[in-house]
Amino acid sequence: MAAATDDAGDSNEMIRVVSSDGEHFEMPEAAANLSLVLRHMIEDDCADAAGIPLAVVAAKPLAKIVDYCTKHAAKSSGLTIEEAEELKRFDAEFIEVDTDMLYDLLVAADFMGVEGLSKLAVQRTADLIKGKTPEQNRETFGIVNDFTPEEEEEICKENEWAFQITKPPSRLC
Amino acid sequence: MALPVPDDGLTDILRRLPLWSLAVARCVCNTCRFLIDDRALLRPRILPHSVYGVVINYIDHRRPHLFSRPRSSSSSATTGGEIDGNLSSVPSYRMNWHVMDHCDGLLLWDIDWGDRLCVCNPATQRWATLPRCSEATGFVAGEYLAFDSATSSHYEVFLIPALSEIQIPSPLVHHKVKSMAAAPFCLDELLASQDGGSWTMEEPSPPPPPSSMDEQELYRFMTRHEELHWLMEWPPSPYKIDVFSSRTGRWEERPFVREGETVTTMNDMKPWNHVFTVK
Repeated sequence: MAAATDDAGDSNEMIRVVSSDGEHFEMPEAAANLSLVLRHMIEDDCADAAGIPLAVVAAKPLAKIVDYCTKHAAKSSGLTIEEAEELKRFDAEFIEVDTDMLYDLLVAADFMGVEGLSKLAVQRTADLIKGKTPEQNRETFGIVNDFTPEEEEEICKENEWAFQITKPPSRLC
Repeated sequence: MALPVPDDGLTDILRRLPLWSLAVARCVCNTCRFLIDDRALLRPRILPHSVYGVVINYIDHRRPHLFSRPRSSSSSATTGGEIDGNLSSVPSYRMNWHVMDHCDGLLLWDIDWGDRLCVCNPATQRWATLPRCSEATGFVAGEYLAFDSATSSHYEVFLIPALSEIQIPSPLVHHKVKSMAAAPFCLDELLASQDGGSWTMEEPSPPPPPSSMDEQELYRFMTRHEELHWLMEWPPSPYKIDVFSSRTGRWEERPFVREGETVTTMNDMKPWNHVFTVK
């Protein structure tokens, strides 16, 4: 697999993809191969000059995903410690996005089968949820409180222990 | 409405939360709550909300008894039926039964002071007697049950071994050290021993020397051998535990490797030692 990726990198073949809103993007084949869906399309010779249509991915998240894949494909194998750390810094900056973009990335990375990006977006979302009260979480993610007052009272009582102690004991985390 | 991502995606996110935040996330909206409950994300990781009852083992009565809390109408609706904690459906053998452990609604019973083990579900009144563990030759320090209904309907029973036996070098193998299967804790015996009664702890004694070996030499050898034995690290690594799996219906020896530093030596475990006899 690594050899195939290298070959693709050497040949500099560019893969064209088209977002749901009709914008065209290009990325090296090695980058496209990081997406399971694109890799299968390329293997099935579906990658032509017209570009692979991605019906559920809009231009904004697709531009980010192309960035992500291009960066990661360029540094796919034989990383030095410095390069690995640089990639980590890239990821950290890359995922500093608003919640709308985060949702788009979660859905798009899942749809396109970009495993690394999926993990990154999932972890980022989990990090945003951590340490917040239910109300703060609703605000952050624009979630509507759909509990009836009775339900809310009951459910908060069930999970009372999670609110009672201000600092969670380390063994629970 | 929760996050606009598919349920599987949201489950992935929730799985990455520490227990603490997961409990708080359950209070955010109905979708989160249903997902956390439906996928049992929280339940396997916390203790039950309430204690159903207490099982009491007796010394002078063949069967333990369940003492349960009076049930309200809502809790009996959730359990769906009567729990037969006294296991009256199990044939009443003229044997002594003791509850050794319990896990997620299953009980582990000891029949006739370690002769057999039995696992039962008081809610369904189903029970199974385990085959004897032929490998478990040494003294068993504890019998434990592992069961998680959220992940599997199968259970496992672990026999935790006591201190390792003293290994006798092969030339002296006929002085085999054999550990006795100790009887379960008995209050009468303890009281008798404290009163200066007849029950006393047997101390290890050196074996009688064979004619081919000088008595003094053998005694010194055995003493040194025993000293080394007590300097062995405890718990040993790998720590071999006999495990019964209801999936296979068989016992198997499973090695567990210690993570981290040595805790102590056999010597420090001496106060907790069990009876060794020398034949």
